[in-house]
This record gives sequence, structure tokens and C-alpha cells, in this order.
Amino acid sequence: MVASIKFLNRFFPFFFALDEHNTLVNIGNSLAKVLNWNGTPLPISDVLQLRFPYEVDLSHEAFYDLIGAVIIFDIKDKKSQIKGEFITFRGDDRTLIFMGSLLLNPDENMDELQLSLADFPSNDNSSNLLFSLKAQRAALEEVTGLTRQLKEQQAEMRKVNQELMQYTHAVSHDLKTPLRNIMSFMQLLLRSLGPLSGPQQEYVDFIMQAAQRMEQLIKDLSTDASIRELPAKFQDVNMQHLIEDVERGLRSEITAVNGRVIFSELPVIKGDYSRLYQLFSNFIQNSLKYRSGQDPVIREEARQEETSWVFSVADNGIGMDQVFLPKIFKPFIRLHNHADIEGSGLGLSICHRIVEQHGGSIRLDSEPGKGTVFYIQLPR
Amino acid sequence: MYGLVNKVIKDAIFQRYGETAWQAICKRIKLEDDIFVNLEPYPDELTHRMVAEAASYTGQSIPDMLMEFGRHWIEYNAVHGYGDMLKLAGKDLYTFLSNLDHMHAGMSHVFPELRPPSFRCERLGENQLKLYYRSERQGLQAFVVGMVQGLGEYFDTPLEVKHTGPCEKESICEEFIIDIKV
Repeated sequence: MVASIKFLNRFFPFFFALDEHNTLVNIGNSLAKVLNWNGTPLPISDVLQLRFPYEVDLSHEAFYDLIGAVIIFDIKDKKSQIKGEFITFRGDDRTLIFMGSLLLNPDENMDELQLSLADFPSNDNSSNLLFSLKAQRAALEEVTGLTRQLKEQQAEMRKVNQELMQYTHAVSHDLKTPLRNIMSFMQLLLRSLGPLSGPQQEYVDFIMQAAQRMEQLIKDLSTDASIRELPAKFQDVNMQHLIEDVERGLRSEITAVNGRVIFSELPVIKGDYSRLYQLFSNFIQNSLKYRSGQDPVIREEARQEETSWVFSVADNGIGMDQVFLPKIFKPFIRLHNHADIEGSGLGLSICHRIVEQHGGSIRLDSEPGKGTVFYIQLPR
Repeated sequence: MYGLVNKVIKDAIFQRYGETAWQAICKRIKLEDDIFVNLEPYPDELTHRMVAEAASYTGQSIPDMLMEFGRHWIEYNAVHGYGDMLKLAGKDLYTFLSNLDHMHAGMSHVFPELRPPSFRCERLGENQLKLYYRSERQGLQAFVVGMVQGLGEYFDTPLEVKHTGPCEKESICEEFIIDIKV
């Protein structure tokens, strides 16, 4: 038995020996540290508690019947357990030996258990596991730190974004008044000057066109800021009525270029009326702006899908090259070969944002000379 | 290599040469995103470029730079999340070096793509150790020298470490002699 104890201590330093009086008469070196054992025989119930899976008494007799079965003991007043099985030695005095290893609870500090790496047998994977637990904890700390940083940055970005929007809103509002003054006084000046020479008239036209472009840009910036800043108001929107309203609102522009808007039956969807109005108004204005030599014809249709409506806005305009498609919804992007066509470069970016706010998506097909089709998918 | 390595290099440059130096190095190696995540693997090539550019920027040789990063490796890990692990590996230099493979084996559960080096430590005398280092990565002997120097400081053990060359019979094994000053 003496030789066996030496052997057990080397390979199972968490072993214990239980005699017929339910007393621990020998305890492995490492377990002895955890239990703070001073060498005096100790009733098993003082330090261990049976955990799983047998509902038996904490007694020698019960354990004798369970030789070879895996048993887990909770170590009293600690978070960790020991797991192993009982054996006995042939011809011995019926002393049971529990050959166990420590199941270290990640919340338990090694120092609290009075243990160090040297207390684990070299063939025991627990030492690797201990490092793994430490590495996991360090990894978790990193993830927690990164998440906290991310949240802080997100909050900061939201704040900066909000301030930027308020700033844009305020600036575009403040720019409107002086611009209107420029335009009004220009008209007064023109009236007071009387008939102008050819070049003079040309310069005045340039000034007025530039002022009108600026007015449009300020209006679009203000719209963009409002859409970003203010929450959408969702309600039932009859798309048939909405397109009729848009057409009515743009009638003079449509008539001016001999255009037509054709639409069939359109559904009722959930959305923000004014933003959807802006969306379809932008598409129609876009089609009118980028018209070809033919009279502009704009077709609006809706197709029902499983969870959404797909609206299409197709025109017979000049279309565009495939290379422009990936960046067409970015702000201030304008087709470089049509720089003479008026526009702020914000229209489609506003459309993209509105569709995103409605939980939808937007894409387009286009080819030079064959027109453009926008597909707007909106949830049903 | 895992982001932790790059993070330590970044921190070493920050601490020793300042933010301007780090920004300049990032610019030279065209590194736009300099936030490294410990648990994310990055190409070895990026780390090599960082070391080479750091050496060029500071006017040091690459081995000297690696030695500096090796020292910082211990300094950084002792205070940034991995301190517990260092403590677990041992309370003295010999035990620590002997347990390094255990540490790497345990860490590989969390860092599945870890390709760690292997270390074996042998006592040559009361105050002399021989360290055998095996790694599939080449040219990092100076980093090991720096790391051992860092461990000397960590355990408050004055020492001298010297790379004595490759092991006799193995091509990927390098030997180091550590003299502990008493």
C-alpha cells in the first residue's frame, strides 16, 4: 500500500482513501492542499458532497457497490469538483481509493485553492486546460473591452452625426435668405438697367442660372438633413394616390418636355407619405432630366413578392454606362459626361436613404441609349 | 500571426518612439487600419514589414529591433490580460521556460490557428540554463533573446542570454545559454 500511495500521488495527486468508517485516511498531496488537511483522519461528509449521478449515501458501503462508476464530488466551500472512480486493492482491508482529478471552476482562483501548476501530474491535461481557461478569460476581457470601445465610438459618432445634421440644416437655412436677396436684387437691377447688350445679357443669365443651381443644392441639402435627422412617420400610403399627387406636383415640368407618366394599379403600403413622395418625385425628375431625343415616357408598376412589393420606374432616357452603376447612389456623384444637366448630385442619394429607412432596397438596370429602370423593393 | 503580436509591436513603438513614429511606419507600409484584435490571425508578412520598417525608421538593425520587441512582449503581456497566464506558468525563470509548451498547448484552444514555437529548458549548473527553441518561423532568434531578457526583468533575475547557434542534429532547433547573475 505504501508503494501504491507513492504511485497514486505521482499520477493522481487528487486521490483519497476511504475506510469502512467513512473516514478519509489518506489524501493525495494536491487535494490535501485544497482541503487544508493536516494528516488527521477526517469524515468524508466534512469536506465532500456527492454531486452526480447517483442518489446514494455518502458512505463506504454505497461506494463499494459503485466501484468503476464515474463519480463527481463537490468540494465543500469551494467552487471546484473532483471527478473520478473508486477502486480497491485485492486482498486489502476494503479501503476504497478514489482516483480523481480536479475539475477546476473557471471562477475559482488557483491561489484560493493553494494550488500551482506543479500540483497537477505531468500526464494530466488539466495543466493545458488551466492555460486555456486563462487564455479564455483574457480573450473575453479583450472582447468586452472592444465591445465597450465600439459602443463608446458608436455613441460618439451618433452625437457627431446629429451635430453635423443640425449644422447642415442651419447652414442651408441661413444660406437661403442671402441667396434670395441676390436673386431679387438682380431682378431689380435688371429692371432699372433697361435693355442689355448681348454679352451683358449672357453674363446676367449665367448669374441667374448659378443662383438657381445653388438654390436647388441648398434645398436638397436641407431635405437630406431632414431625412437623416427626423424619424419617419409610418402610415398606410395608397401608392396610386401618391403617384397621382407627384404627377400633379410636377405637371408643369412634365408638360414642358412633352413627357408622360404611365402607371397601372398600385398597392397600399406602410410608409412615410412625404418621403415616398420625395422618392418618386426624384425618380420622375431624374427621368425628365436625363431624357433622350424622344418624348419622355415614364412607366411605374408594382409587382407583389412573398414579403415585399417591388416598384419599378422605367424611362426611355439616355441611360448610363454600367461603370456608373455602383456609385450612382453616393452623394454628390454626377455622371461626368452630363455635367451640363442641372442637379445637385444628391437626388439619388436621398432616394437610397429613404428606401433604407423603409427597410427596403434599391437597384437599377441601365444601358446607354436604352433608358433606365429603377427597382425599389419595399416590405409589404 | 495573431493580432496580439502586432499589438505588442505597435505598443512598443508607441511607448518607446512615440505616436509620430508609429504613424510614419504605418504610412510607409501603407497600413490604414492599425487596430489589431488579439484573436484574429494576420498575415506573417505584415508583421515582418512592421519590424523591417520600424528598424529602418529608428536606425537600428532588424535583430536589435526584434530584441526590443521580445523584451516588450513580456512587459506588455504581464499587464494586458495575460498576466494571469504568466503567473500560472511559473514563479521562476526555469519553471516558466519549462512550462511554455504547456502554455501554448492551452492557448491553442482559444487561438486555433496558433503555430507556436517549442521550448525545452535544461539546467547546466546552478546558475546556468540551456534553452532549446524550435520554430517553423525563421529568423526570430533575436526575439527569443529579448524575450528571455524581458523574463529576467519580470522575475527580477539579472541574467545574460546568448544565442549560441543551431542545435547539433536538428535544423530547426536553436540553442541559447542563459547565465544568471548572482
